[in-house]
Amino acid sequence: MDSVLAALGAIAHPGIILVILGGTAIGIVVGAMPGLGSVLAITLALPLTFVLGPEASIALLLGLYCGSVYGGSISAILINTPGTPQAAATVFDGYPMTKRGDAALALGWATTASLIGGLLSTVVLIVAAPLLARIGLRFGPVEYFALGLFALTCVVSVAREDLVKGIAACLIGLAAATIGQDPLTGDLRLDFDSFDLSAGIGLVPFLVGLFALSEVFSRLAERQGATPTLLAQGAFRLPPLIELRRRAGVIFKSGMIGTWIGTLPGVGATAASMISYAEAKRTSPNRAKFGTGEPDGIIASETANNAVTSGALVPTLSLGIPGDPITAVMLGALVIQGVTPGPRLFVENPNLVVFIFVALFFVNIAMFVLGALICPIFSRLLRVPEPLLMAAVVVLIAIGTYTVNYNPFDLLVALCAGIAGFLLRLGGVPLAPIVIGFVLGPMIEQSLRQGLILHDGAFLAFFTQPIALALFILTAVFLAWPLLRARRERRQEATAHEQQEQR
Amino acid sequence: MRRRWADVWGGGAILGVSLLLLSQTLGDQFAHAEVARNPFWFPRLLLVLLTLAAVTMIVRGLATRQKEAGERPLWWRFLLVVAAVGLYLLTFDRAGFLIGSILFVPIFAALLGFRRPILSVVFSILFVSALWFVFADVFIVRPPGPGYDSLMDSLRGDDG
Repeated sequence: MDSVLAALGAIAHPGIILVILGGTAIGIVVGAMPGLGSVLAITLALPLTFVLGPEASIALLLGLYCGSVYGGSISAILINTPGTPQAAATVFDGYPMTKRGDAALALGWATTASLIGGLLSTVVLIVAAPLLARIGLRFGPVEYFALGLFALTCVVSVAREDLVKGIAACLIGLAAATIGQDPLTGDLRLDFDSFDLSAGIGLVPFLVGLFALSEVFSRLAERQGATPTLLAQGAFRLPPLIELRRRAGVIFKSGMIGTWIGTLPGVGATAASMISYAEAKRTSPNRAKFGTGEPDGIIASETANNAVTSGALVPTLSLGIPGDPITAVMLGALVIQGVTPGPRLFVENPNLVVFIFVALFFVNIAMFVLGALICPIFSRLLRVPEPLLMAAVVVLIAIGTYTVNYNPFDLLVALCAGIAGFLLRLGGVPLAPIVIGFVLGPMIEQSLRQGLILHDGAFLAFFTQPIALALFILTAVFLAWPLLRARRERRQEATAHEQQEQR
Repeated sequence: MRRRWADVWGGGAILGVSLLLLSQTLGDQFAHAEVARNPFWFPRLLLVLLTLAAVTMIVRGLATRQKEAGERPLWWRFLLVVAAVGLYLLTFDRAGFLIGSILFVPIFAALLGFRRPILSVVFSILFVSALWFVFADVFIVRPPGPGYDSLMDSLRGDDG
């Protein structure tokens, strides 16, 4: 109870309120800009966390995270272009509502559903994270290695279309993290005798370059720029309470789907909103109207994608394992603040954990209020000319990256990471496994080598630990699953082809 | 049907970087140290796996065909953007934040075909000044180069 009161006291500080409101508002705006997205919002804000305290940094990042996931729905509804991939399913029924003149109500449904999804998953986070952290306290190096490997496998196996590229991406992230000093012996490696590289590759320039700068390059090198058609001004109307009660089943189920998917490393909000949409389309009493502007479609997508935000924080906070690039960046930001997420966090810094829980409630409420208040402005912001917007993003990247260490080398790293990110996107190599690999790399290496030292170099001894063994089995299942699925699909295709030929 | 050239080139680039890094881990003085205490063991393991993944990408790219080529970017535009951004970033600490950024925004926008110079100059001055204020006065993190205070001093001829 004392922790809750302390957290409420901290949040009542004008500075923290300002940060929550500012972060959420900026998150909504960035989320609403097609192509910018949650990762860009968080990576651009990462350097700011150096000058803010832990509470303010966390409040800022949570505001940006929840705000940007919600913001994607605005452009999905108004201009038929999801601002973030997470809002892709919102387009199916959001834009048809706009076309028939119900944009205000569609925005109202999206905002209300996002609020409920966010709050539902925060409750689950409060219940589940401490329980998981208690299990995590039993973890030694072997279990941490198995857990890190499992998280990487989850992320890789989601790269459904190309497992090899997913694995390559993951290895690139892990290898980049090994540049510089060895965490155990302190020896220098892969530094090419460069003084700048001897300190390793900085998290901020690497992530900012890989995501934000490569996004700028990708958008500007596209053959066709998106020219959104704005059908309606973004007014706002809350759905009637009776309608909300009538659709409570869809809301609750979508919230639970989003929260559950959020806790799984690597799956993410895009998949959550799609699965939730598909489930609602299958079971909703209004399923026949899906795709024609049915509010249940918006509710399913938006409740689920916002429920992922707190769900993804369950493994991040309790085990130190980020579920997606956004939580990976947040984990990095916490480490920068001297706060190491994981089971020890719940023992050593319970006040901060409670602060995160309470802040999430306030961020969701701020998102709802800000969404309702400033929706009409977004239609104007969506018209900012792309060249000016991109130039502004580059300036933000430069100042944000440089002021972390006042080292021009960081700008060079960001530039190289940006070019590499662009080329990797072009080659269809997913970027998410690179980030997760980069963030988890030091933990995986350290725990593997510590485990080997503990067991006198016998790797097979890792399989005698029950928790680690369970995680290794799960890892094998996750790795084998896409291969088996691909084989089954090939067989089905071949059978269909044969049947066609016989006819 | 076309070969998957993106996989071939991508795999080739990854292979090149991987081999370059791998060369840094060979012939180390820890060759006789036990695996867990050898700082080069883990990166070497990763890089060998990465090399294998890159080779797989190349072989598969050469062996398999795809129906359609993916959409190719405008390379000249990409190179132009990289050159402009690179120049801006690499001269950032020497040119200074204010001067460099105020010049960069309208030039960059013009290079991308934005033909409203007054709007882009006004936007640039307002945006960059707002950022300067946020960093220098709110976060007390001074961006590189002269700020408004020293620029005003130089205009007044005050060197002190």
